[in-house]
Amino acid sequence: MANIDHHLGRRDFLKRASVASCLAGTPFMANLMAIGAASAGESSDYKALVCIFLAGGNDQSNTVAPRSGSAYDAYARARSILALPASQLLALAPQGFNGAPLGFNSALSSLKPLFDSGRLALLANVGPLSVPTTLAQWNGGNPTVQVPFQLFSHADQTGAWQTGLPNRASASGWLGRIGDLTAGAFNTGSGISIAISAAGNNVMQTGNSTTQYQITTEGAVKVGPLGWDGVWGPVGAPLRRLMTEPRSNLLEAELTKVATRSINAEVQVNSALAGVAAPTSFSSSLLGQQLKIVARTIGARAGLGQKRQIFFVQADGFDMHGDLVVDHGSKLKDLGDAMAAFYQATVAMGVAGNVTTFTASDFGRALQTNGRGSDHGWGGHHFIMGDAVQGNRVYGTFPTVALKGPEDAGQGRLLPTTSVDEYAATLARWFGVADADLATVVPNIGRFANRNLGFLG
Amino acid sequence: MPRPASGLKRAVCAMGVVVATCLAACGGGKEDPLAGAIQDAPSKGPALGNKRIPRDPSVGTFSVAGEEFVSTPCAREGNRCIFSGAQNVAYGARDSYTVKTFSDGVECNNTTFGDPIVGVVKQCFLAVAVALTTTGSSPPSGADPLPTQSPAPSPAPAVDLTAKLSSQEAARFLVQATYGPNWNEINRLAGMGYGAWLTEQFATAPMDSHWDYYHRMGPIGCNPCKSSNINTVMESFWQQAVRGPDQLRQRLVFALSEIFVISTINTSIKDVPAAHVGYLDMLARNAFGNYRTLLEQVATSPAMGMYLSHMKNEKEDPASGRLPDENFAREVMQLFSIGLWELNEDGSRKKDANGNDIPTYTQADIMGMAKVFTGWGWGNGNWENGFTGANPNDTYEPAYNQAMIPYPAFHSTSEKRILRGVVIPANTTAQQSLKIALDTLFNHPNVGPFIGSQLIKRFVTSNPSPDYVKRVTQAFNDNGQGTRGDMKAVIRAVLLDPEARDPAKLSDPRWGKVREPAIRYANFMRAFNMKSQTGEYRLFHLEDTLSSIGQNPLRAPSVFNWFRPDYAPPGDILKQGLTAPEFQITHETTITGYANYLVEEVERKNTWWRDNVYVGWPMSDYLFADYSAEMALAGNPDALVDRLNLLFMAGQMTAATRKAIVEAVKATPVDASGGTRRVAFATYLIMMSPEFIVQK
Repeated sequence: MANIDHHLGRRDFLKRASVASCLAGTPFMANLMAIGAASAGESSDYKALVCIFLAGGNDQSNTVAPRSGSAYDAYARARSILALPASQLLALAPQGFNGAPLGFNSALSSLKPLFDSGRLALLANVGPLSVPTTLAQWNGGNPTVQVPFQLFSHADQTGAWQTGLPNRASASGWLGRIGDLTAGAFNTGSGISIAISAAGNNVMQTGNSTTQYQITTEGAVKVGPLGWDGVWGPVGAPLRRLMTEPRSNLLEAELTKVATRSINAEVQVNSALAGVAAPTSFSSSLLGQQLKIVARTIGARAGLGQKRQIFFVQADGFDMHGDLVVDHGSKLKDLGDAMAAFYQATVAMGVAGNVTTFTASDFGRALQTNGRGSDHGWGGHHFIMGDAVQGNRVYGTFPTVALKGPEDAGQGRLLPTTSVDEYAATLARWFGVADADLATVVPNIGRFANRNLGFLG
Repeated sequence: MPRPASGLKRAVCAMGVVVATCLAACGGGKEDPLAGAIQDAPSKGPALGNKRIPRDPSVGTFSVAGEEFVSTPCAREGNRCIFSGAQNVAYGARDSYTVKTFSDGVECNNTTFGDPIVGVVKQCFLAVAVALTTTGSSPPSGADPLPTQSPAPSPAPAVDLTAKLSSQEAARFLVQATYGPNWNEINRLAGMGYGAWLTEQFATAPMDSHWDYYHRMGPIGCNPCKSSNINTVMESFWQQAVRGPDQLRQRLVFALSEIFVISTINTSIKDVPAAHVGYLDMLARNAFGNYRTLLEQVATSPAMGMYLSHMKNEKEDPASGRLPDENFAREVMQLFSIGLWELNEDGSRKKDANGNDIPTYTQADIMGMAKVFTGWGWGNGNWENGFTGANPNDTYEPAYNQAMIPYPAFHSTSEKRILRGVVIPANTTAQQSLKIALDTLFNHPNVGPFIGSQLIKRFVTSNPSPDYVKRVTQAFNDNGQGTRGDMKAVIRAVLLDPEARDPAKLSDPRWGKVREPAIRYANFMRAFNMKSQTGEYRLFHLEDTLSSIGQNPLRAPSVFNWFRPDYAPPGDILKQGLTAPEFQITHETTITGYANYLVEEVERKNTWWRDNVYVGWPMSDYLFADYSAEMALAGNPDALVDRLNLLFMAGQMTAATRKAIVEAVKATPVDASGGTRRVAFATYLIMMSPEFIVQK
């Protein structure tokens, strides 16, 4: 790779970053290939969790709604101008569901076939709870039992969802704690964290020993001058040293630690990604591109030495206090299309039964309109997708979609009937966490009835 | 006897009238900005008569015959080392020094000392003997020689506001108080002292208004004037950040924009330049005013009204069941004034009888507050104003420069129960309701510590001591003339606190803060007087983590800014109960993006670059750094690196870093570009070094 530095524009960094040809034949590359060969026949032991975090609080009531009869009328009355027309809802026929007929927001047309064919499940009215809480105990907002701190605050409820600890600050999240328990057993010798984020820092993937490795939609990016010959030659060695040497100032020490991780990981990740194209096409939206790199990283798992992977991607902009009518549809369409494309990619790679994708969000939203949108809620509905999912079903308890219904915690905010703990425990169990260890993942799981909600085989 | 090294340094500082005076006074007699610049640190000491100078000579220790000394640089060879009273002065370089005692200053040259090392540029250090009993606080026997609690609670003596400063002190202050030192400003501040500089800054007007820039479509004197759409906001922001004479106001506006956040991300005002320029001007008008006024102007800002959706928020309607939007009501408490938890003056949380944190407000309080922020609409008297989000720049645009006004028909007339048991009676007007609500927030004891500690974190350090926070709180509570909320008093308290100015902090492992990426970049632009021929600063996508620095003013991902004030990365920082907010955006991706973005920035002076532009802008639009002063030193790598050391890291470069960079420069040929590459590489390595990225 001689003399590439002179005319390198920004875009070239990205191309260069993904070319591993210079490494061909080196001992390191040979090692990776060997790992790949050995793992070729072992995909049945591979599992991945993919979290799609809907930042801002997805409006659950316009994601899935009653589509007919008096249930629809109650919904439409409560939502007034926010209500979706019944004719636009995509009819669902979930197995074993005895509630009022439901429909998807029409923007989710890509997800409907997945639901109908049993590859997508709906978990209804799930949210953070300190303890199982009845409406009487909620007591109109002066609860007689403990409830999550700072309900309806974005940062706090994002924290509650991601940490599984709604009543105290936590530096770790449940995906990270799953990583703590599984990385050693399944990813022996891998130089890359079990937790990979395409959406930046997040507490959800932070464990006690797990720190997420962040990639971009183009893969891992190389620090150019570390590897240039030619005129930038004098910079490489001192740069490497400045970026990696231990320091006594605590902040400097953390800085060089992060930079060192970055340098080491980039080599490994880009070598593994080289030649792994996404098997299906994804939209150019940020979510689409994030799921695309996740698909490629799944394809590169052998080169990364990973039999377990935990991914995090994020879709922004769901906090629709205003503009719900205008914007929610396009957000949901982006979500549905990206999820469907991702599912198809897992099928093409032969891992559709090994990869489980699920959504989460800060909270749902209030049923009642504020005139143009909806305000922060509590319980929400979420999707779980993959061939391991027992789909075409509604898990949890679908609420009465009306004001002053049995789950109305005020203004149509849903008092959750399933806790995040139960949701997380079900995913963790499938991923390989032993039942006895579930309390490490979600410490409050003992307070709730359903350690296994059943949506994963 | 255990040797509490850091304790000794603290003892020196506490006793340190002498040291402080020295640092204030020395810096060389003549106007030599290199006076006091750090040279190679010798690694081993000569014996008696010549003293051992440690690796890091900025604040170092050495011992002679069992007695400890602390050395601080004073002047370079050929200048005067200024101090009062009797001092031991060491003169030399590398591992050869002569130590003699002088009174009231000494010329730092071979005539005075003899020449301990021929042919090498030498400098003078003050060698201050440390007496363990000086502060009366000897460590208890059996104590851990490296104590883990924070340094002695007693502050160093009050900072001298009139004293001249060393170049390092001046540069260090400018790193904290401005978008970055430049040569001229270091010298000016060193000559003026802190007090006069601050007074001047408080009286300096901004160079332009952002509103005018936007409507003029470019900077004053533009020809052609072609700036348009949302990018104009960034152009105007960066012009003032880099070139504005009112640097302190510029930094404070940025800090306020990270507390009272609006953004172009995920909001209806994402393509409405008028919203953002109007908001920036409003922050600038209030930065040196009173916090109560600032809070009210934020609450009635049309940009904020759009961002947090209380613009045209309507009162409750029992018939339809509609309730007022709570978005702003929540954030005005959680983020803009009092935070979530009751605080003591020193920033620690208050506890109830069971030892639990005490929340500051309830959901019911938010619902009451939401009613306060109803009926507020466009300042031009037209409630409807026709804004649909589709074509934002039409007739109501001037209203983005006018505070929202109340429209009684839409304002809630029911009783409003807000926090602290305050009840706004039914039929209270919108204006009066706002006053009661904002007064209640303003007078809450939380505001001082909540806002004050955040300002410390934006300017000075991530982990101020509780006493430091308390002093800033007290300045907020009373500016000394009985006024609460005086922002000038607060910013003075932040910057002039003895802890902020204490040079001993340079070696406290818990001290400092990661410079925000946007500020690192501004440091570069100011150090080299970066500008384009047109005067425009066309910087648009700095928030891109992949190809840029991963941060951009007014483009935070949410109202929670780029990072939480209490964020701590997992590891030693978290384990020690410390915070490092900027690490929330300092990770593998952004470190890499920054490293790659810098390559092009430092190189953009070569003629080869001009031939390879790919964006397609006219050359007159590109920003270029002016390396001419540095090019003059390109043939002298030591001098070049010394200059950049002062400009970028206030002379704090370690000896090892300096050695590595000087060697890299020496290995770079002075080619047809005339030494530009040497400057570029030195600058690059400096801006990638931990001593730069972590400001101390």
